[in-house]
Amino acid sequence: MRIPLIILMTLQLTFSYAGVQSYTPEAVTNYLSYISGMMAGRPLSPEELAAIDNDPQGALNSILETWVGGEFFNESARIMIQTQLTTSGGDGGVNYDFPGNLARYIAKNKLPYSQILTANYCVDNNGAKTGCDTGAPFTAGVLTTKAFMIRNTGRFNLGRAGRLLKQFMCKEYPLDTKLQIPINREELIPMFQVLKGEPNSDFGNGFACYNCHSQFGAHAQFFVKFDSTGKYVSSATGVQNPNLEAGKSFNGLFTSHFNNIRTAISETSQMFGKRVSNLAGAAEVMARTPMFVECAVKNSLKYVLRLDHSEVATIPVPLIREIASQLPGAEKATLQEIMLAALKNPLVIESVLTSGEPQ
Amino acid sequence: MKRILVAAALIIVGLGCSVSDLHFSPEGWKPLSEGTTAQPFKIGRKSTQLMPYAVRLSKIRALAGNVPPELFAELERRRFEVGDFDYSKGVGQELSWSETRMTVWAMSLQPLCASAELKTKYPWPAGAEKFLAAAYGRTIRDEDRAVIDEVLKTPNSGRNQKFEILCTTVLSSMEFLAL
Repeated sequence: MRIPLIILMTLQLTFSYAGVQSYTPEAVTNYLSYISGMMAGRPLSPEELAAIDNDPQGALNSILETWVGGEFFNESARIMIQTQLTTSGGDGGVNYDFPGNLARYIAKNKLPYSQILTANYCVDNNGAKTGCDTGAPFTAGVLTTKAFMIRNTGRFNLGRAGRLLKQFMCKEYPLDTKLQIPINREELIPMFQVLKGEPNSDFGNGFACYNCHSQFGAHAQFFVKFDSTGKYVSSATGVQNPNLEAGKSFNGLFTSHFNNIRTAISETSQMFGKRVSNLAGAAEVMARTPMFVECAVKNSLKYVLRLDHSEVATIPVPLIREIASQLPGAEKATLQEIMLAALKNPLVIESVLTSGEPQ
Repeated sequence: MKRILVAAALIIVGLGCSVSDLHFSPEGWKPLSEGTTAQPFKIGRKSTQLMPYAVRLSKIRALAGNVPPELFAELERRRFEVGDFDYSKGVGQELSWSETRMTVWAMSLQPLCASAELKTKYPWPAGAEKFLAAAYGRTIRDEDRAVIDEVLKTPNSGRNQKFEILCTTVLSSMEFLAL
């Protein structure tokens, strides 16, 4: 029987770093030293060094497990979300700490990390649950905070939709059309109907408007009721204000992609092939996809290992998927589980140990 | 204070210890991916990228132990000058090291480095190696002893000032701030 080449390659990749790695004390010390600041807020302690000398593999596991249970880990979760969403502080009556506070709360209480998108509450600066501040009749974790809305405000709600996808799915437009079914061309306003090769198709990023906006539009629609200050306005219509530049509706709101007024006014739309009533519904869909937890793995590695964009791009996709596959389902995995799976992975450890200048 | 800062700066520059000098791949350890198709990803170590401000401060607090909070007041007051962020006010995180940032950082360490509490915890010279080991979270190496020797040789400085020079040097080093 001939085994397809793709299966052979997959098996080789799986087994090549699923084997037992025997770490020396020096290797474990070097690795944990690199991440101790970000994970525990301190250098390795003498007790930890002694444990590593005694049983490197055992110490690697036990030290990481201790760190994810510590108070600084919760603080680190807060910093991670603050810096990745670029929201922090307070200004003009808006609490920009809501997203970071929620991340810390989720970590501290070992809740599923998916609540970063689906929590039906916000968390104040004292760490207590509180209502969120957009005034929306639903809640969706960090998404229904003025902090997220204001930081990503912009015409057609493109910034909000784009950030949502990039931060939590690690994806950018255009998406695979099997994942995000494109809106029919005639349903979009004319400027987004432009196809490659047509007049004005060289404007923008080279994909021509329709390729991206046929998908962007569906996600941007979830934000049609939120004005530029992040306030929920139930009477928003999504209609273009003729006196303002393209993408701006009335009263600080933003224009819908849809040319039908009944569609433009509604916050019902499609996320990954599922029709949902509003942003909270979209968040639930996202939180249940494998992409959510894979992206959480990637963002966790980016944060703890302090990778820049070009370095993140070199993390092999099979590695991300292998780490994610060890976790208990997209909507269940805690941040602790995500971090442990990622940081215990032999190829991740090897990446840290083999980086830097050889002597 | 100026003499201490200058002495610390000379030691840092003179020993020329940079992030890229620190060899991570330990001897006797065979990479798992050797001879396989799975390849590790690369982490750039050449850039002097600091850890977030909150992490640096936490490391200092862990090293100092139970000391009066006012010893950190200067570090907290000048936090934006040394890389902390407040996005609501348009202040982004800065993780690169510059001469100005380094100077502000070293100056902000002075209340702590000059404190009786820290000098009692790490008395000079007996506590010098313990201080270094605690700051770096590892056993002492020859290059650490070289740093202590340089501090010992600093002219016109008494015992107290020598500890302050060591403290400023170590807590301003790339190994403490970036690794």
